Amino acid sequence: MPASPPALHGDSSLGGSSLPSPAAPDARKRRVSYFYEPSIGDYYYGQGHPMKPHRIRMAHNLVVHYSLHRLMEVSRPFPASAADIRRFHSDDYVDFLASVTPQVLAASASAANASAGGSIGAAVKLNRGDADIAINWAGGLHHAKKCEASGFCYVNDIVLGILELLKFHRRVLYVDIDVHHGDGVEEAFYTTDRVMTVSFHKYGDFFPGTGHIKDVGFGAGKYYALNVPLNDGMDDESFRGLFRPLISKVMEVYQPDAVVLQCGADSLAGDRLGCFNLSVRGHADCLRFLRSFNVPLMVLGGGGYTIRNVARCWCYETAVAVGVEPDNKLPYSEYYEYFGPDYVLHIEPKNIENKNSPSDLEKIRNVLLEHISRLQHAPSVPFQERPPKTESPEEEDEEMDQRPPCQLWNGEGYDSDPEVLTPHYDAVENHSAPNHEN
Amino acid sequence: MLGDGRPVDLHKLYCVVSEKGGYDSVTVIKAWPMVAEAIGLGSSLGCPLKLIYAKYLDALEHCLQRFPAKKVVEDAHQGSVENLGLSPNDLEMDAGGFLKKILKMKKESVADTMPLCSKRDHFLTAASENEQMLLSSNVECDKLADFGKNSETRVFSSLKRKRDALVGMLSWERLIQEVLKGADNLINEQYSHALQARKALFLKKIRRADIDRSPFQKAEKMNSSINGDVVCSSLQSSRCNQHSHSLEKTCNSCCSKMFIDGVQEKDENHTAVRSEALHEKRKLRIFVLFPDYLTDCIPNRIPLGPSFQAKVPTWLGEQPVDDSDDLKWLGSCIWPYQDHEKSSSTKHDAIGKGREEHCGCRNPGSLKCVRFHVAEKRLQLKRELGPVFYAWRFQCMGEEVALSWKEEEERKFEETVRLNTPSNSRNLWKQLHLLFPSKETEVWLAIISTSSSLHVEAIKTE
Repeated sequence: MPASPPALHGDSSLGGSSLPSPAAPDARKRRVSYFYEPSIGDYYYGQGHPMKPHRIRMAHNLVVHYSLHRLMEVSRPFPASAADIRRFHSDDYVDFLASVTPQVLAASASAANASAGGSIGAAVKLNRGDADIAINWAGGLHHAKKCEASGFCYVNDIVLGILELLKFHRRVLYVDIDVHHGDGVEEAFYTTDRVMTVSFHKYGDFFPGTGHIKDVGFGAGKYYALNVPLNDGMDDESFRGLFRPLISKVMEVYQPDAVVLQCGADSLAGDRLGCFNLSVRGHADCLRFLRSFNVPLMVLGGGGYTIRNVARCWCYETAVAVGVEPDNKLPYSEYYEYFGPDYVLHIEPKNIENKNSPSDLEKIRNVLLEHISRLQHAPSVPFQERPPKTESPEEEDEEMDQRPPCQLWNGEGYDSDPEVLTPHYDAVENHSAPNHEN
Repeated sequence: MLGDGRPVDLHKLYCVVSEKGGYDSVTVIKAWPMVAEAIGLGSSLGCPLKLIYAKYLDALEHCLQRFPAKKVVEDAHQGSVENLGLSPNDLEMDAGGFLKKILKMKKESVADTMPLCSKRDHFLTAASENEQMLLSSNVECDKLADFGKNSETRVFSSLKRKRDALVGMLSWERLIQEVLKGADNLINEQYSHALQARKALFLKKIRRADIDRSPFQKAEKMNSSINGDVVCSSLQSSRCNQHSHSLEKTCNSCCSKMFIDGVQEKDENHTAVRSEALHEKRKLRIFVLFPDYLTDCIPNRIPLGPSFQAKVPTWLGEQPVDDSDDLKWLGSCIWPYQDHEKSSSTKHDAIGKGREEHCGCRNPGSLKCVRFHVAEKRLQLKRELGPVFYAWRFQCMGEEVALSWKEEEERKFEETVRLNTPSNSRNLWKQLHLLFPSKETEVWLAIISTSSSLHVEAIKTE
């Protein structure tokens, strides 16, 4: 058995829709659930405002013209009510939102309800075992705080979704590849080890100003917050060089029962507000990689302010989720004119300087790997009703937590071929045991 | 500042609320509208005011309230290390949160220099524990303000806004001091504890500055302008930290110096017995505080507490699935549409397909050709999706929208477009919005992209 983390070998091809791994036949189709609110594009933040919900409609339009919907279950979300939003946000804040309702806020408040409803719905889908991947491109509003709106975000659908996941999953991993720091989610779960947050973002003289590499969590949540501060011009290769080793280490050590990926598309090249230089492929590689672990996965939208590229990106990522490699030539669609002059799906990175030197990246990687190594392996979340077969002897527990990583998926709520999920995890455990001793 | 731009007098707000018994009791008796009236705003603004209070002043209130209770406990268990060990940590969290709020309020999260200044400022106020020194510290604060101004104009001449923020903050600080001057000795003493904690934060900040290098130079300048012993000692010790790694030693020297300072200051004001007790307390406190700061050195900038973190339930094992509540979240399933199950299964080869390389049009790639293929694809989609086509509102996308326009509307629109060249597209937008206030942007995008390719670029940049 190679000592490297499972996902690092045999992934040399970027183009394939799956990670060929002997233990984890990733090419297996995932059951994908997709939430879409048809009226979402109607909400308009005002002329000149960079937030354009219209991009979600464009992405959906592309998805349908590529016929990707045939491989998914598409639902219209149930709008979250004020009571649901109170599960995270403070009463005062919710009252405040309700009381301050000029046109723009009212529109975006109902957009927020749809986005929160979609993310909670996605979580419920995963909780019930109805889907392996649940997508809500209207979600991912990661800046909203418990008592405060921030950065175009009024309701933090991610926190609401994760809280829903926590009802049935012991540990949830949150990964954020928006160019902005995922401060709202990090803050909400800063003191708990049941949620680990990992954010890749531009740091330094950039909104929202948080996300220092030394912000690692507090109390029980210490080292359960990971921040990857980056500089302008981050390209595919550099990003991958950080994302893959860090995330595979996190997956190995933390062993989440579910993963939430925030796919903010403002980290793409040429974004109106962002400053990274990722291609659509490089961006989607994060999803491809997380998908390969075969853990229940929630995929959310987020930032993204050059709307034609956002639509490209989220359409391609939907394709990655369902395991299809779409043609580069875009199908004819109602929004065809947007995609000129090439009318293709993929975008070329810009010719700009990558201000992240290899040595900086190396340093960041080492610091963060060291942080991860301080994590307790799969933190002990006390639970009483553990099935007897999973009770591992104590000495084994100390060396490596060998609990089956996902109770629900081997349990009652799941009725179709659960054995497909297990081999990969055996592999993870076999790999990590020798690795851990090093 | 409120949503309508009116400033709120935080000092007044704090006074009024504490008169009424603090945040909690005001909330319980629902007196926020009264508070709003008392400070000269309309009673309708109670709700936003409450948020403002919770955001900026709650931590201060807690900071001050904590001590009477803590003190009783401490007196009862004097010398009990665990007990004392707890309170400084709480204090640290509070003071940290409080500081952060002040900083946030002044909107200078960008620069590292401002927090440094503010902490110096706190440090100065800490030095002024008795009333004589309070006055002189005000003078010193002014000096500091001048100094801050000077140095900032020198170093960051462009950041004038921040300078104003500094002055604003200093005056706010002074207000707080006045509040405290009026308060009884006990409060004063409690406040000094809070300040003590900030002193520690200040030290931490300086050590961070060591790492950041450049702000440290400013701190050195500060050092020369204020001849505070503790500043010197802390600066020196933190400099030591930079060069040697003997954290504990410097920590000890730091503590002892501050300890002596504490003795001197306290002796002036309090009885011997009392100060004796305080020494004990402070000594312990400092010893608990410092190793934590200096060894870990983790920036504590994320606010902590129930008003920031989500309530995460502890894992109780698997709960039975409660379908009744969850089912609604599944939403309404739109696809797969039942009647179409069969047909969709036969057409799986179309999935992921882009457009054809070649077409039979006479002028491939021309506007006419593209429009034809878009319409063709659309019809195909309509056939395939059936009612789902409308459920997803595809009828509101693209060229079809144009057909829903009335003739007169179309004429007005054409005219406006003709009168505006692509270069002043912003103007076009404004006029269109004036002419057709009811139409959504979506409509514009659709119309323009199909009717006038000239404007496509303008829309994209918009």
